[in-house]
Amino acid sequence: MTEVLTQAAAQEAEPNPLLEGLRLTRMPAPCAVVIFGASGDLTQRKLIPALYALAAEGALPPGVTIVGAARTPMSDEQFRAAMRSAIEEHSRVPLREDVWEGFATGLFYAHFDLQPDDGLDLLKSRLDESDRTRGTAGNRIFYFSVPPTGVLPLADKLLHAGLCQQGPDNFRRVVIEKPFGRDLESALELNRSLHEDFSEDQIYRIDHYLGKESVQNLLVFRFANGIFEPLWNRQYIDHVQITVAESLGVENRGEYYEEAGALRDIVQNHIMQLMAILGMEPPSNFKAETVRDEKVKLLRAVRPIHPDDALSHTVRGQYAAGWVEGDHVPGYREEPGVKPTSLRETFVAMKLDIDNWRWAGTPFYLRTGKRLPKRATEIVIQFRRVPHSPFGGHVATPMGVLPPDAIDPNLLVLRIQPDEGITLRFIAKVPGQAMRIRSVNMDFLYGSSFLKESPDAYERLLLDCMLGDATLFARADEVEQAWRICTAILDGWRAHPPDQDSFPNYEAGAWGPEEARAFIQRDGREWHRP
Amino acid sequence: MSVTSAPSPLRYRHASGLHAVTGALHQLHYELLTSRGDDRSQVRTSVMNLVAACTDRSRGDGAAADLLRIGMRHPARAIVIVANAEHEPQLEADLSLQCGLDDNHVCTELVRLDVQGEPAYHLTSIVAPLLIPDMPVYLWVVGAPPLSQPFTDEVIALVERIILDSGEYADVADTLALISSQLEKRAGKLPLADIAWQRTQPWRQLIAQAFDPWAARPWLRHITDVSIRCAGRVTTSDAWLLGGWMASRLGWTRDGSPRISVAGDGDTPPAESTPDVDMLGRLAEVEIRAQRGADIAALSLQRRGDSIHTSIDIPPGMRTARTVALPLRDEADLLSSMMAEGGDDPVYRAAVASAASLAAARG
Repeated sequence: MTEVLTQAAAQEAEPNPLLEGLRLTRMPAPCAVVIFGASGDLTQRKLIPALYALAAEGALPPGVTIVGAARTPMSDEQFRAAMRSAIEEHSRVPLREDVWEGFATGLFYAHFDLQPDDGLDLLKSRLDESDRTRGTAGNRIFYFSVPPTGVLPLADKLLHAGLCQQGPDNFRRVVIEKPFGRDLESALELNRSLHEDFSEDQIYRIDHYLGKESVQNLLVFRFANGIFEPLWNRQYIDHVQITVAESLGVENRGEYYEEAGALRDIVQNHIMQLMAILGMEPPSNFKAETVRDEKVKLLRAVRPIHPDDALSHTVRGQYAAGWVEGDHVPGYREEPGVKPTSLRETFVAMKLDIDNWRWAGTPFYLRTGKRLPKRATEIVIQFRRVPHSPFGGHVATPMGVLPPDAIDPNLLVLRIQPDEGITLRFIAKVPGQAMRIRSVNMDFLYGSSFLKESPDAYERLLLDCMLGDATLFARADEVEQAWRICTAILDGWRAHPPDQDSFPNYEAGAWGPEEARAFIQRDGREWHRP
Repeated sequence: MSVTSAPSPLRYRHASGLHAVTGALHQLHYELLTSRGDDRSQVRTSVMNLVAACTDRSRGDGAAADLLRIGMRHPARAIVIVANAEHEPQLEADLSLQCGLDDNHVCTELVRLDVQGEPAYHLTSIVAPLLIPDMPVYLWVVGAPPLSQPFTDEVIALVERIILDSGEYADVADTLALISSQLEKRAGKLPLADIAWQRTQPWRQLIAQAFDPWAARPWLRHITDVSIRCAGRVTTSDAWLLGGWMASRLGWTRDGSPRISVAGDGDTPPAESTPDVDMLGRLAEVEIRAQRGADIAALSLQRRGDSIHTSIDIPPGMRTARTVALPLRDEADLLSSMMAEGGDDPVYRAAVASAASLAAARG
């Protein structure tokens, strides 16, 4: 009987000692990457530039084949020309003729439409040819850069064409972009349906935030520094703030945004992922399942907001016309594709409690919004104030000392974007005869400390997918837990819609509605200004 | 990404004698801190001490420029020593404060020391008082000065890393043998980084990649010939290190191993193709051949300007060719990346031992 050897087992039996000590110690096996929706914006702005950058830096194995598939009729040459322009415009790595020449030989196009079946044969023949001539050996990644409504029909089509089943010596993986459903029920249904076609280990739910170096550095910061983890709990941390601020409006995504809103667009995925990484227990190793287990445990511990309490635990906002970064910009209701009477939220702030031993009593304040004064994503850890101050000062108590609340609390600010870095605020003595104190900042700037340019998030995530490393991808239960939290809020909002004239409630260029400030001040706290 | 451009001098001092140098350095500090008259405006931070040692004034100028460029990203105290033992004992120093052009408050203190006479044999005693305490010290051995001083116990105890370029030394076999014996003797305690080894990194990466697909791995055991060529007429340590790396990784012994041919390609590369970096001695071509029965697999890597073209032909049907960008990295870039990495590198240790053995066998 011929023994069937899996690829992993074969590689273990036949090690590659040349890889030891090199920067990339794992090389993906040659594979074909099929991008459905290849004529779309994401392919041109992110996917192809990321794949090209990986190829130019030698991170892709020889033989990698990329097949663009979309409804737009196009020849291979036309597709290559379009992708060349995309690389010239969007790639982190400048286009070079010699690199492009090799990259382009692995670039193909297959006209494909979900409705008629005629494109699938062409796609299959392209892939078979790639296996024969480029050594891709049946390894496939199907990247679904398609609208949410297209995900399940496309998955079914691939299943029926026999393209989903991986063998013992090849892999078949599918990459799915957010949104992963629009509430808990639809997310459960999406996962259930996807699991009919693919096993969970074949599904890579991509949230590009997780591919950012600064997000990965959160894990390193927490679990490779002995000095912070002992403080990382309710005993020392007063509260946590996570802000994802955008200066842009909805641009040309008005119709999508009318359906989504800030909660679905940002909170359910990006912010929940940041919160999970920030708050989770230390994983015992960095394997995908271990890390994701810990993230899910944290999300499960988030206290559900009863729909009746949604209004007291959240603030909704919608931007009016205003000034952002020196430009006058229209209000949300004047944006293309948006109803003039829209009640869709473009801003949301909320307070979540986490019911576990680490975080009980330490709230997490989350906020996101469009048309805020600047683009900034940051996490602020505010430590508890000193219990007693022995120092005198201008604001003296009867004992002649500063009250503890006159001393700024220590802050740790983790900047995700832009200006990736970390700031630690602590108190220092002002030089001089008198004992005067004030806060000072200690700054770490990612760009200043590491000369190497950070790869784009999509580069990291595409390479991880090729390697079969799902650590930085969302697992089904993570997505469901995040929806559990958000769906309760959505239910509450639905039961208590805002008055027609209560929106818009903040001017473009402001840090959200006034209620957001009052919301956190109610707890005796302030939003940190990014 | 290249290191940021060179800064401009803000303050300047000249001093004679070590005592005067330390005084002048202290004064520079104070002037920087008080330059704005506002204690909030100027935060001076240094994250390390950079020390470059050489025997040639023009190499010292180049090293100073490189250290300043690194200093704009890693604020530092940079000390450049030009040592010459042949004259009367003398110590002269030029001190300057170099700050970024974009008002980013990042400044580097540059101390240029001209050490002559007997003190040139005792550089540690001169440098130690000038270092910022509790900050890591990186020693860059510039050019090809004798390696007797950098490999002393007192230097090894002082520095975080010793960076040298084995490719600078004319007698490659002796140099590699010396490095290998020091690494062996100090059993992982010699914090050595070799710029020549760093230059071979993209080549090693591509060779390792070529043999990584499942179907290609068995061919590693059937390599029969390795040919390594570097630009120019002599064989440099880059080429020996690459050969040594393959031999050590694949467990080749001197007897019965594949044929390894290491040589210069006899050509001098045209200057216009690579105006920024001297290509002499750099790796130019690698060819690897493997045989299993009647089947022959071949891997070829060729430098083409600032890229490496790779072609792979592995039976039964894996035939691919591609070109990977090979960013030409100047010394400041290479130094920065080598400072970022730390600790003992057992792969290098094994490679340099094999390289020394191969080079010695060539005679």
